[in-house]
This record gives sequence, C-alpha cells and structure tokens, in this order.
Amino acid sequence: MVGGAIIVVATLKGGSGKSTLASCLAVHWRLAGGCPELIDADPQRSLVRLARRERALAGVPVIENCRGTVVTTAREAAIEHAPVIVDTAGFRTAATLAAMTVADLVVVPVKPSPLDVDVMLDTAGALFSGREGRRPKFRCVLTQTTRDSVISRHIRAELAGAGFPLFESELVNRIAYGEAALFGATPSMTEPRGAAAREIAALADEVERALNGTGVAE
Amino acid sequence: MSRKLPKATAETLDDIRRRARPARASSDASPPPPRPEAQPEATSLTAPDAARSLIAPMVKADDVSTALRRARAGEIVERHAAYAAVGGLLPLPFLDTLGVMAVVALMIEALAGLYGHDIGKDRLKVLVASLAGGVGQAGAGVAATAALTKLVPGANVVGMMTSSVAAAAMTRTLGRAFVLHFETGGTALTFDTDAIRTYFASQPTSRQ
Repeated sequence: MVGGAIIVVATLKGGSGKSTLASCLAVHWRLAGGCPELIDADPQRSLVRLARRERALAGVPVIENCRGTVVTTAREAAIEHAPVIVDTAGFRTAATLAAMTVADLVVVPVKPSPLDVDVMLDTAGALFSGREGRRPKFRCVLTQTTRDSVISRHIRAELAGAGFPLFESELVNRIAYGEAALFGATPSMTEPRGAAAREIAALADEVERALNGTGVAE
Repeated sequence: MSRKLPKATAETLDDIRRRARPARASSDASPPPPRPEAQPEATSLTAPDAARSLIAPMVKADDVSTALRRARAGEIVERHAAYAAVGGLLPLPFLDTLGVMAVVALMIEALAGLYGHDIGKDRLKVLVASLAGGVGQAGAGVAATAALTKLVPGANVVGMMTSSVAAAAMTRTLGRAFVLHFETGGTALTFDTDAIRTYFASQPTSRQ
C-alpha cells in the first residue's frame, strides 16, 4: 500500500460537524474497500468515544493525539493508510495548526450561519498566515443544512461570490447521523441506501477529485 | 431566492490572502527583539523549558502566524531527526557521521529560511564544523562505541541501532536549540556556538 493523503478537517468553531464529517468520510472509504485511518486531535475525543461503541466505526482505526506531535503521527499513519483523516479541536491548538501544515487537503465544515462563516474566515486566515511555501488545498463544505432552505442557498452563493472554494455536495441535517452515532456507526453503515449515505458518497467523490489522486482510497 | 438577505461576509478569499502577506512580510523584516535576561513573566522559563514550550501542545501566543511558524519549526526539526535516524543506520563507521552532519546542515538552513534569514553556504559549513567539535564531545562516547561496534560482525546491528537513535536525538536537540535561538530574536549572524553546546550538553538526550 502506497503512502496516503492527509486530510485535515478543521475549523476554529465547535459544533460545526467536524467529527461527524471525518468519521463519515473514513467509514465510507472503509466500506468501499479502502484502508483509511482517523486521528483524533480533539481533546473532546469524540472519535475515540464513537469507536468504543458497538459498531466501532466499521473497524476504522482511531489514533488519539491532540499534541503538536500529531504531524509525526499523521505522517507515520500515511505510510500504511490511505487516506489519513485528522479531526481537530473546535478552537486554536498547536495540533490544529501543526496538522494544517502537513495536510494535502484541509476541509472546513461551515454551518449556514454567519457565526460559522466568520470563524471560517479565521480558519482560512490561519491557513494563509504561514511563511513557508507549501500550502495545502482548502475547501469548505456546508454541513447541517436544512434542505432547500433560503439561508443555505444564500450562504453558498455568498461564499462562492467571495472566492472561497466550496464543495457542491453538502451534509443535510438528518436524524440518521444521531441514530447511527448511538451505535458507533455512520449512515453509510446503518442506512447504506439512504439519503445521508448518498450525500456522504457524493462528498467523498468530490474530496477524491480535489486531491487529484494523491493516494485516496480507490 | 425569495427573500433578500444581508451579506454573510464582507471579506473575500483575496482579502485574507492579502492580509496574510503583509503580516508575513513584516515579521520577515523585523524578527522579535531579544528578550532581556531578567524579564520575569514568560521569559522566566529556563532555556530548556523555553525550548520545550516551543513544541508544547497548547498555543499561548495570540498571534496565529507565530504559532503556525513554531509548529512548522517543530515539524522541520522532527523531519530532520527522522532523516538523521536513517543516516545513523549507514553500516560504515564515520560515513554515517558525515551523513548526519549533512542532515543537521540542511535542518539549520531550513530553520533559518523559515525565520527569514539567509545563512549562506560558507557560514553554514563553519557553523556545522564548529558544532561537530563541541557536540561531538557530549556524545563522543556513544558515537565512538557505535562506530567501533559496526566493525564487529554480529554486533554491527547493535551499533547501527545505537548510532541511529543517537543521531536522531542529537539532531532533535540541536534543532530545538536553533528554534530557541531564532524565536528569541537571534539571526544567522549571531549564533553563539558555545551557548548552543552548553544547551546541548544540558539536555538529557545528549547524555544517552
């Protein structure tokens, strides 16, 4: 297995769906036959807790490291796993900033609310404020949206108009996520033909395209 | 859209990029001033404590670019420590030492670049040679033992492992010393090799 891509799910705001997004993508690629790994860099340990429940995120390994050494952990994990997905804290930590420096792609979940948009700007500012040449790709994704709502369309149009790269797919707010989490699962496991699983699959396709074949699960 | 909603953001991605650029440029032009030795508060840390705090888990600095720069410095140090560990595995005695010193030179150059200093090849060679003299004393026992062990059939695996671990530890400690130097306002022209040797000798990793 060749070395994999490192995807960092980051925003400096809590409750935006980072852990849900990270776990859903990892489980999707696992069920598709890939070999992803999750790194829980959030001191709240949401992924570690999920993995301890009954269905254990379909066996996706979860490593806990919320220190600056997460960089080394991610690089080592990327030798045998593809992709490595790092879930970060909802506030500024050394681990978040360090992880962003080695990411092949930074995915920023944004709820359709001005508060989330403001913090997304801070996250993008952190990403672009480094001095060294290498900068990861950066994409926003709308999460916890209300289907066909005016506010979702408005925020999407605003972000696109301001030049922020945004995935077409979005994660609609559905009870399937909460119900699946009770079992330590994601909708791709509990309702593989459901709408939530289809949305996750569509988003995973877009993430793979954004990475341009840098080792994401086949 | 059926209703007219106000703008969600007044900033564009280009605004953020532009804002980030001058911040980097200004920090390039004016590195942080050296801290007075007797300053209480944050600078009351001893040198080893301060060095450790650069790699510490929580960011205390409000300045994002400072925190990101420190994270990148730590990443450069860890990357080169890994390279040095591989260099230490070279089976030929003393050739491995040359390889590790080359890695150290590359690390210092990368760190200087990160902090906006052009160290220059000649100065780099002099610096690494000078460090090799002092640092070599601190780890001479390990280095000599590992080198000689590599000559003995059967025991050479132990020698390779020993020199690999020692090379990684030495590179990491040196890297942290240089990060501390740059973070406290040092430049490429103000390296105090004696201070760095003293710092190196005070680290537990140098006495392995």
